[in-house]
Amino acid sequence: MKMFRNYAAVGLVCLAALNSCSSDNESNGPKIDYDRQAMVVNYADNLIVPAYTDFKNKTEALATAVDAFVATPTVTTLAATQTAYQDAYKALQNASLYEFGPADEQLLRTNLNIYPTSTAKIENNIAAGTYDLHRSANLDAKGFPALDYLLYGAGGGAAVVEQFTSGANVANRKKYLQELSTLINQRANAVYTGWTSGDYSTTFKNSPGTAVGSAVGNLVNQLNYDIDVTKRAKVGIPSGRFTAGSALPEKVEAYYSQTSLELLKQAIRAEKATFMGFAANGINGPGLDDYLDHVDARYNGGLLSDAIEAQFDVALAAANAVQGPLSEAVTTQSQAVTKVYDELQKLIVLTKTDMPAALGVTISYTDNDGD
Amino acid sequence: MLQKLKPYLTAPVSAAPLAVFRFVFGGMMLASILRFMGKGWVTALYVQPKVYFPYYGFEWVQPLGEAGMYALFVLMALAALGMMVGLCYRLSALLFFLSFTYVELIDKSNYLNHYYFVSVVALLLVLVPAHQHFSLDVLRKPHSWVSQVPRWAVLVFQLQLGLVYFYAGVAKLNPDWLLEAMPLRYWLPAHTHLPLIGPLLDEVWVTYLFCWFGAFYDLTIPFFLSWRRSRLLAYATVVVFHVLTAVLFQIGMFPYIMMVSTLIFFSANFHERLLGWCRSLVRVRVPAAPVAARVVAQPLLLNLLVVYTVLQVLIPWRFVLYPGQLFWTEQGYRFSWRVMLMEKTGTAFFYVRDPKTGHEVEINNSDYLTINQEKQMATQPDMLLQYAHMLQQDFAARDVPGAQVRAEVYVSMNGRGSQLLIDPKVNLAAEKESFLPKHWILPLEEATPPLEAVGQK
Repeated sequence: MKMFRNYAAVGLVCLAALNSCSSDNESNGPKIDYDRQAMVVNYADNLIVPAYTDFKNKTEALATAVDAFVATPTVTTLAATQTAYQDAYKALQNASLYEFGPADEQLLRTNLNIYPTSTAKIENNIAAGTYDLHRSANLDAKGFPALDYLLYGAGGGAAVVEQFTSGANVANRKKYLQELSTLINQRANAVYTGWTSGDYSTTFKNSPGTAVGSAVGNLVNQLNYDIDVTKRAKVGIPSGRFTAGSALPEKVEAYYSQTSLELLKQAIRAEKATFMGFAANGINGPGLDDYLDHVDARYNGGLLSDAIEAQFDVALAAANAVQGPLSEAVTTQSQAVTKVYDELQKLIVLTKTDMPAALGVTISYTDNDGD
Repeated sequence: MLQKLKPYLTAPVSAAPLAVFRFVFGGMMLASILRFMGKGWVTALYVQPKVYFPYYGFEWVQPLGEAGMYALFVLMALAALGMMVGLCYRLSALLFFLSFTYVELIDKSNYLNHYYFVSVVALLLVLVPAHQHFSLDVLRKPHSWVSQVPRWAVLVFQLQLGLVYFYAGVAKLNPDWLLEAMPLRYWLPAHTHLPLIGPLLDEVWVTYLFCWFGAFYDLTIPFFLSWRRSRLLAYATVVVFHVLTAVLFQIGMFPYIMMVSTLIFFSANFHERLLGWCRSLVRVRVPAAPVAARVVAQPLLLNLLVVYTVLQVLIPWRFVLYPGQLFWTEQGYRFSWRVMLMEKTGTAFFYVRDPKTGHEVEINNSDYLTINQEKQMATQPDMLLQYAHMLQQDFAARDVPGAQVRAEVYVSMNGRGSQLLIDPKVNLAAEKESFLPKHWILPLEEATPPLEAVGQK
């Protein structure tokens, strides 16, 4: 065995010698130096942590607004709560695409954003007054979709206020609303803490390579998962693509507040920012696009990174072309909605096929042998 | 021809190399199986999936349920142990070959060249008298001890190993590998964080060096290992090469299996000294007089092995019978020692149409497949076809008989932009699997066609 070790050692020493010589050599062709570590640090410090900080703050503000509304339910406090709810829901679109590490532990997408929500379950829970919102049976009776129903479901502001002042089970309804917003805030806090005072930021920054569980592997896989959810859940299912026949308007995200379209656009913007390494403070830092340029990934004669960036913009433009609430558009403007769907499909082809290939990222969540 | 070769092939040679090979191969298998079970892959790959992708003609091979699969793996582990120590050897080797091969035949999503290698070596081990030297069988029945086995019993493993390397080298002689340095150009930069060699992996010239050296290595190593004077250096290269692949790629036990298997190229003297040293540890003595193994039905075995070898030589060439680019169509790709040659990634959208209503729905693949199955399915035409048939059956079970299934599949291969792999208009449910060329595979275009979403109708 000693002999083998010697040979292995000799081999490595030779390679190391090659390495030390290489600095004297002219490098082949124009090559952009790329610091992967800087990219990963940029993602952690300038995108992910700010996204969770913002989400934590917005959900805190939401919980505070809900408390104020519950204490004195008026049209004014309701409006303040609705604004806080929309802000927090939009902040979730920025945060939910990093579902690894702490967010994966908290199952953020599952716990906060299963839609359509079950109004029957919500009303049953309120009527009963006893329930366990941690049970999986209640996944579609909590989170933002449930808030959406409670804050908008009755129709106009006055009707909602009435539910919280003179309707049936007022006390239980108030308690349910408060518990929903508290639970959301708890999850947001847990993820924020995991990234900041917890050690996940360090773990993330020190997971090099592109294998399963590496920082880049996690980013690429979760970005793709998020784009897939955007295409399938936000657009595909409500427009009836997964069920034969007609559109299913009630399956849109944020059905009652009719903010689906804005959330959809926010999700696409967030996905694009993640691809570009676009920091929360507006600086375009080192991102996956630069990494693609580094390995000289090409598409159709140009750079793959340019093709992907352009496709994000086309998808966003298609979403912008849809008028009014998405729940109506799926039936009245099916062409425009189909266009959004098709553009998201093209985007997925690029991000899920061409991008991982060029980066050597395995599309997998389990560690497996290859050959 | 065979008649002339016969005296050479049947001449007695030292049994030590074969015994060492049996021992290290069995040990590696035991370790691999325990590792496989320890990582929870039995459950993840053979219990949890809702559907499986059996091989054409082996559709009857089905998983055995959780208890059944674990029982099978325990049996496999015991058989590997039996092989290693040479206890009830023939039965152990046969059980190992059958159980291992059965598991591999369940789902082609898990196909790896090195699993195929294990299967063929296990089959060969069933046929050779590897247990009559340095084994528990000999301790139990001392009269069965031999010091010599016919040369073919050692040669067949050297030949098999040589074929693996040589064909892996031949497969590297293609423009993507040699001229574009693909896929290593995409794979190596992912490892720049490694100590010592890390910074080198970002250099294009290093990538080309890896490619050309890799091809040269694979093509020549069987010969350099066979030649006494180059053997030590060649083996050192084997170690360095496989250690590098182990560090750079996620290929599990394979590098180690190859590192110990290639010891069979070493001289009888080397193996005898190795065994002598082991015997001195446990204080076992062997008779001084040499005894040659008598092999039952040797002429028949020899003829069978000639047929086997011819098949092994020919099978990797079956792809020439199919039209189109092999890497793209993968018709005749498996079982040919084409390792680490492709970065092929795909995304597949499936649409199922109810012929009665004309309504078409899109399929969420994760409702049916594991992530690994979806990944494999999206780049391999025969699996796309199997999945289409599964979808049709599932819809038939849900009262939509005769459903039509189309697939819009984009694949990116070795740095080419993604393009459609198969005709998105073809009703796959109506296509039958066979060894005939699949006419619905689209040709590979070197220039990427513009991306169009075919979408639903």
